[in-house]
Amino acid sequence: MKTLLATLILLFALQTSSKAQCSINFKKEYKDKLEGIYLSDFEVTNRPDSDGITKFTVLLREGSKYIIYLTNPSVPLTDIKLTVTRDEQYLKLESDVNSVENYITYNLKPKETGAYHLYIEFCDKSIKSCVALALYLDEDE
Amino acid sequence: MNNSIDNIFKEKVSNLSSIPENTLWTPEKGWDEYQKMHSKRIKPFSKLVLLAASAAATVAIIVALSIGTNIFSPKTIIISSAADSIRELLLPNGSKVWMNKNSTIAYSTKKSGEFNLKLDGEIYVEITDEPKAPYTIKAGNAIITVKSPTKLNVRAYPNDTDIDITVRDGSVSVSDNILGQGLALLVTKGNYCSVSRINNFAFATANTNHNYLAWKTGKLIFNETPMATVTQVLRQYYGKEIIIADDTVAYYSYTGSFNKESFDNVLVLIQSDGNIEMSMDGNVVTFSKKTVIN
Repeated sequence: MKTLLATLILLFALQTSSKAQCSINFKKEYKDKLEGIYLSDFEVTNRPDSDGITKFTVLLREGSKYIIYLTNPSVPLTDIKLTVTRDEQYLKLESDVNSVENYITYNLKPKETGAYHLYIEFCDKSIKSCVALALYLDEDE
Repeated sequence: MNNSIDNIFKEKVSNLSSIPENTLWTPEKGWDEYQKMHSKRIKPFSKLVLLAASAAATVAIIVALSIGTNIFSPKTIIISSAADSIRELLLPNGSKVWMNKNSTIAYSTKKSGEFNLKLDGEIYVEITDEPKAPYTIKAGNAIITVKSPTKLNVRAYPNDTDIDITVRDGSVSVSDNILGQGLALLVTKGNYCSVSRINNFAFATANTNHNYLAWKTGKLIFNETPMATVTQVLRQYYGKEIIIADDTVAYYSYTGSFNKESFDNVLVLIQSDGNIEMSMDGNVVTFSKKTVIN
């Protein structure tokens, strides 16, 4: 029941070659290393002709703890920005950089159940790059 | 008996302020007159009570029977498509539905006009007119509510881990069984929503899968698409087992399009691209890196 009611987000970014795909890398390299209950993963590609921002809307549940991982092995992690909003209000996220595995972890514990918007922004909009987003449930919560 | 009537009557008469002169009476006659005069107000009331009680009992019997026999429940129509063909339907509420292979829908219309459709499989729905009553599609644990003219594709085969809803035009709201109808994701034109059957997680984002309607149109388009995705699309479209033997093949990008091509032709065309060779063992096709002979 706890599993059903709790949701965890893993946001995972991968900078890959133009012929590779983020989600492939994510599943191959990271899926087994990360803790929690896997829920889903997404792929975000930045194309030079786009505005460099991709939006995801997710339904999150109050009382559950979500973890967002962001990684990009090819470019500095600082080149990717994650923003979370709820009712047009920005949410403060706690982050932790793992320089060995090259990803950032964000923790998110919603105060209310509902729709939250995740924005992934590529700071350098001129290059083609890729992000994979996945969801995990924090089992400790 | 006569004495008691006599006594009652006399008592009543004695209470009257005046008694008509020359009144001829006997206790029986007088009692009859008295009853006619004083019971008139009671009798109609008793009849009404009796009538109401009868009506209530009748209603109760009908309700009890209806619960047991569902005589007031809307009739549910169940339609299935064959394993080798898609099916096109016009539903009673005016919406048009295309059913992919191996799909089943069950729909009913309530007296209020509310239309409910349950899906196992994949459908593409076109609702061209403003729905006059609530229109709900239930697919696995996803509840899709349509309130305006909309075109959408819903994929919900029982073996799929996720229910995918892609909105081509208009908008829908999507909720899961746990959150209920009150909390829903609004999915608008050009976006797609996924609801997990395993953990109920729901998200919506821009649709980047250009082949989501390939089952209906017969057209497959790949534009610098990684082979891992190409094989996934082919697997879904042709229902064949495809294995990538070499990891590097998964990263090959492929560009090409097919229009109602046979599976064998598609394999030949992909192979002619130069980087991949294929082998077939029964129904299983294996993609591997092409061996270069010096």
